[in-house]
Parts: sequence; C-alpha cells; structure tokens
Amino acid sequence: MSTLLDPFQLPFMQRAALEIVLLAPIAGVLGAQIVLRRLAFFTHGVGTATFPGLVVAGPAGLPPTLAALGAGFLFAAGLERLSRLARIAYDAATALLLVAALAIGIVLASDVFESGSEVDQLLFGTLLAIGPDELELTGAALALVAAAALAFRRSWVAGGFDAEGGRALGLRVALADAALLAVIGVAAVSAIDAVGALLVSAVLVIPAATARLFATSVRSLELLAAAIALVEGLVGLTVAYQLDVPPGAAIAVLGGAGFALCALLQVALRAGPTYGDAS
Amino acid sequence: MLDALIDPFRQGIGQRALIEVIVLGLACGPLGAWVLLYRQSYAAESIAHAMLPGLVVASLAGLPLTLGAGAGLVVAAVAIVFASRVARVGADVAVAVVVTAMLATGALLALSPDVPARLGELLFGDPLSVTSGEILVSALLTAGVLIALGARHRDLALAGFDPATAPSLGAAPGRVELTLLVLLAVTTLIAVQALGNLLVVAIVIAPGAAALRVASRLIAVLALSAGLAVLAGVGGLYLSHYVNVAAGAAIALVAIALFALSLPVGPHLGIVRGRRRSPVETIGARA
Amino acid sequence: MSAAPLLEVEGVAAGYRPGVHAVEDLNFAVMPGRLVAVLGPNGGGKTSLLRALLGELPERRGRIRARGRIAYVPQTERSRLDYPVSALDVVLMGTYAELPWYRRVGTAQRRIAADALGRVGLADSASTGFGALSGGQRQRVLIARAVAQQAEILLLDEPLSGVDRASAQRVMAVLRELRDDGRALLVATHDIQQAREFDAVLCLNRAQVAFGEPAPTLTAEVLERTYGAELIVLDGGRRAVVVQHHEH
Repeated sequence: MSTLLDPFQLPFMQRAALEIVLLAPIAGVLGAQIVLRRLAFFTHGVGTATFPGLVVAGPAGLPPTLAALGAGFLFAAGLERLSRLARIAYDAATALLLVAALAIGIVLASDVFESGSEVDQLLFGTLLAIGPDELELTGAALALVAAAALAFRRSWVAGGFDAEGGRALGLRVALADAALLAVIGVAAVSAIDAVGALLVSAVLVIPAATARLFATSVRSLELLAAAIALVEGLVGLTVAYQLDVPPGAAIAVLGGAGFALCALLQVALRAGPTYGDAS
Repeated sequence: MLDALIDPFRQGIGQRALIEVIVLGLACGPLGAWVLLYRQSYAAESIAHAMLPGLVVASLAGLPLTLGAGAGLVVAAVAIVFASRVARVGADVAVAVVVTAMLATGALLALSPDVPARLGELLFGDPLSVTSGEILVSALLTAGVLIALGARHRDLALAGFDPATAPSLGAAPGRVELTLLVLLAVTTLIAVQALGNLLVVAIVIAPGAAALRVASRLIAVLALSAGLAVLAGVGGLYLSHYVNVAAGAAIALVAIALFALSLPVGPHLGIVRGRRRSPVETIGARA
Repeated sequence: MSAAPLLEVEGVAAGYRPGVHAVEDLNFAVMPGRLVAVLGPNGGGKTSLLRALLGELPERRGRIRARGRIAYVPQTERSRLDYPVSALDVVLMGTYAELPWYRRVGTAQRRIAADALGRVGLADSASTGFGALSGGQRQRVLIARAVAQQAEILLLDEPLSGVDRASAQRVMAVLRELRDDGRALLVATHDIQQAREFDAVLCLNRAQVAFGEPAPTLTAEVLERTYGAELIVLDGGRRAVVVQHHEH
C-alpha cells in the first residue's frame, strides 16, 4: 500500500495529483456535454491543434499555455469559417485543420528541436511539466467552466435535447453553444500538460463515455464522469510513475480498459431475464 | 531548371519514394472523394491512429509493418462496433474511446524506456525509407483498391446519393458502406508507411475536398482527386528535398495547400437550406 | 386495356418489428393505366405500404403479386444537393440495376435516360447539376429515373408536397402521361382535393379504410375514419379540410 502512495511524497507527483483533482470536475461537466452533443471529434481536434502552438512557444519565448490557447482558438475559428462560409462538412473541416496543425507542428519541431523526445512529451504528456503555473491555469479553467456552467448549463441541456424547442423556450441557444465550444477549448489546453495534445480525449471524453453506460440523468452523468476521471487519473499517474511512461498514455489505456469492462458488465446486466424482449 | 526537377530523384531512395507517392496517391485520391461524400472523415482520421499499437508490436517483433497495422485495424473495428452497437454510446464517442485507448497503447509500448522503437517514424512516417518490396505490396494493394472502386462505382454512386431508394435500384447501402470502410482500411495500410499514422488523413481527405469544390461530375471529381493526391505526394518530395523538412509532413502540407487553393473556386454544389444552426449543431457530429 | 391487374395485394399486413404492424388489412388490385392516390394522415402507413410493396419491410404477411417491375420515387425534400451529379446522371442510375458491374454505361443506357428526361419535359436540363434544379424539377428528374428503370409500376412518396402549385400541376401532368402509357401509379398524398383528381383512391389509417373511385369512395364517413379527429367536414360532406399536425 505504501509503495502505491509513496510516489505522492514527491513534490512533482503532488502537483500532478492536484492537477487531476482540478481536471476531474471539468471532465464531469464538459464530458457530459461532449458525449451528449456529439462533440468528441471537435474535442480531439482542438486538443491536437494546440500542438504547433506548444512547439513554437519555447523558442519564441511565449508562455506555452498562451501559445496553445492561441492555436486552439485559430482551430475553432477556422472550423467555424470553413463549415459555415466555405460550406465544408464539419467532419471534413475538422480532419483537414487537425492534420494541418499536426504537419505544421512537425515541420516546426524538426526545425526547432533536434531531438524527438520533446515532441513525444508534447503529444503524450509528461509528469515533470506540471508546475505551479500549470496548476494556476487549470484552476482558472475550472473557475471558467464553473461560471459557464452556471450561466448556460440549462441552455446546453435544453438545446442538446431539441434546439428548436430551446429557442422556443426563450433560451439563447446559439450564445450558450458558442460558450460551450470556447470552454471545451480552454479545458483541452489545460488538460494538455497532464495528458498531451493527442490524448485530451482521455480526460474529456472517455470518463463521460464510461459514465454514460450507467447514468440515468445529466446530473448523475456529470457526477459519475467526474468520479471516474479522478480515479483513472490518480491510478494512471501511479502507473506512469512506476513504469516511467507518459501519464497521458497510462490514463488513456486505463480509461479504455475501464470502459470495456463497464460496457461488458452493463451488457451482461442488460441481458438478464428481467429486461424482457428486444423491443 | 530540369536539373532542379530531376535532382531529388537521382538516387534509389528518391526514386523509390517517387514511385511510392504516385502509387499511394492513385489509391488515396479517389477513395478520399468517396469518404467525403459518405461523410466518413472522422473514420478516416482515426482509423490510422488505431494502427499504432499493431505497428509498434510488429516493429518490435521484426514482422512486416503491414501485418501489424492490419491486425491493429481489425481490433479497432471490432472494438468500435462493440462500443457503438452493443454498449450504445454514439458512434463518434465509440470512435473517440477506442482510438484514444489504442493510440495510447501504442505510445506506451513504444515509449517505455526498455523498448527502443522508432516511434517518430511510426507516427509521422518516412517515404524515403520504403523498400522495393514494400512498393510492390503498395502497388498490388492500390490495384486492388482501384479495381474494387471501379467494380463498385455504380453501387457507391447510388447508395451515396439516396440510401432510401438505393435498394430498389440494386444497391444495399449497408453493404456499400462496409465496402467503403474496408477499402479505407486497405488504403490507410498503403499510405501509413510513407506518411505515418498521424498524417495519413491529409492525403486521403484534402485532394478529395479540393476536387469536390472544383469539379461537378463524379468521374471528374474522382480523376481530379487522384491527380491532386499524386501532385501532393510529388510536390511534398520536392519541398522536403529543397527546404529540408520531414517528407511525410511536407506531403501533408502540400495536400492541405492544394485544398486551400480550391477555397476561392467553389462550391458549385451544396446549396445550404433550412434553418440557421447553432455552433454546436454545425460542428457536432450527426448520426 | 388488358384484363389482368399489374398489382394485386391480398390480406397484407406489414411492419418493422415482430408482432407490430405499421399497416394491415390491405386488399386491393391495380389495373394497368390507373393513377391511384394513397390517402391518409401522417403516420397512417402510406410510406410503410410503399416499402412493403418494395419488399423492404422485415415483417410481412399476406400476398403481394406484381406483374412488372416496381420503381420507387422518393421525396425530393430528402435528396442530397451537394452530390456531384447532373440531372442525366441521376436518371442513368435507373439503368444500373440491369447492368452487370463489368459492363460500362453505354449509348443504349444514355438513350433510355435521355428519353426518360424528355418524357418529364426536362430534356434541356440534362447537363444541369441536380442541386441547381428547382424542387419541382428535381421531383420530375426522380420520376424520370423510375421511368428509366423501365418499371410498369411506380410508387411515389408525396411527390406533390413541398413544391409550388405550378410545379405540382406539371408533376401531375407527367403522372397522367405515364398512366396513359399503361403504367400503374401509386401516389402517396395527404391532400384530399388532390386525391379527387385520381382514377382511384386508397384510404389508409394504420389499416385499409376504403378503396375505389374517388367520388363514391371519399364520403364524409370514410374521411372521418381515415383522418379521425383531424378532419373538419364542410358543405355537408362535399368538402373536407384536414388539420395537419406537422411535427418538427
């Protein structure tokens, strides 16, 4: 038992654990909306799009989070422009912008850094990167998500159920939705330090997808997703420390395994005799 | 001038790379146009990621990479179908869960310090590293993809245009869509070696997206898409040779640039009707 | 006119799930050269009937006998406008089922498709992009595709809704011409006034309510059984108005 907790004596592990504690409620509130409103690809895209920002930040002397936010914002703005003005299907636009961001990042990285190990860290996360600044950012992201949820959560739920109906109810669905995309972008940037640009979904999508298997209301979906994110995050950190692998990869693999287990469990429960026929 | 054009391909490495990008452009271009028409871009983007653990295992075990990638694809396909059908989360969430987990598995295998694998190459690819044997495999697979696209052309056209009527016109939409996904998997297999599993989607989607903006007939779209994909591959090799950037990334960038050039031209098509959508409705995946 | 009906339906019930029939008690026959309106409220089983005739419903009971090929014309409101095809390309799709995959689309198919486009009055628009046509024109292109299938029996799903009055009249004229060639046409509609212009009318409300010539069939009693509470009868039964509840 003590060997499991030992790593958390170390300051950098304590910071990493605190980071997970701050991310968990974000994973709950936003993860629920991402899963309910089919924003998984957007989340993956906006997370990945921060990669070139992170690459240039170091040499350009910019704070990495600011550069990542900038890149994420460019991604979202480009997506909006391509799908609304140029009338490209949203999924094609997402794929194009995402791969453009990756390619630019790689070209910049091969020019700026000689070794590939930095790139691996940016893409899959690192335990050492989480300093006080990163914790402050994640804390600010949490506050922002909480404020947005207070203001818009009702519109998110109503608009997700039925946009026309939401408008008819007098809710400002468009404004609320724009705010939702913006806070997902901020949340993705804040999650990158822990899990890396490629694996943002490990925090923002997988816990909520797992919770979705059992949740019966939006509220229970949020709570359960946050709890799952917390457990998977902390266990993932320990595994990453013990095996000396990137924490993002460990958390994502745990999340995938957890989802598979829960899905099998849920299917087994559903197949029970009380459920009746297929209709 | 001529010298500058020939220079990158004076040696065997460059010549093999040239043949490889032409071969894979011929498969990726037309397939990409269909992927866009069937709104399968997310599948195209993610299916390549799912290959990573297979690629890593194959490279550790000294097996052909194609074999490992193929195995990764099969596992991913089964897992996605299980998650979306059996566990009944949405299709996009199912893809996100499975692909994130598989990408991470690959990274774990490759980055754990005991294992010296070339993760960078598997992630980003290198057309300059292909061998003659690999080109032969690519050429055979490309021929297979093109023959299948030709043979199934009318079914693809029917089921993509209106799935509801397609059965009475002789095409079963479910079977057609499955065919498309299998061909997408095979094509990804061809392209992953040169472009790596993060960048494959560029040469699948970008030429098709550009062709769909410029041409207004199916055959023209497919031919133009193939041409643009080959152009992106060859252009990328030049860019990589003269500017000295990674060849895979250069090809992806040229493909995206070709798409960007098409933006002022189109669209001929796609009169958007209906009510105004909120940002999430525009961006969120539809079933 | 030949004696045998093109389409015979006896005791048919059909649905999407085991034990649940979307439409039942179907008994009717359609002779060649007849234009039949399929009348009923939304959710009354019009589309289910058409799909059952196409053999696309998993659950089916009874006997359907078709002496000729059946073609289906979908609602144009559902068509994709972002698809890179011309009007002629869409009509050519009607010839695909008969063409083995290894044979190319040749002059014979092109002639069939061009003739079909001519039949619906769109010969001049052959190379126009499908998405650039008006709603009524798109509907006629889809009808031409069914003609190119060389089908004797045409099933049309609400071809007259979603287009303006002038276009609806042109579509109607095309349907009459196709009837005069000896085809049998089943046209789903929820417009009672429109149905009065047909040769026969089949009233559906989850089950067959009535079948026959419009004048004797469309009585106040039949209409009330077809539409239930949605119907308002005017002029002592000579006119009727349906209150449509459109779902969003």
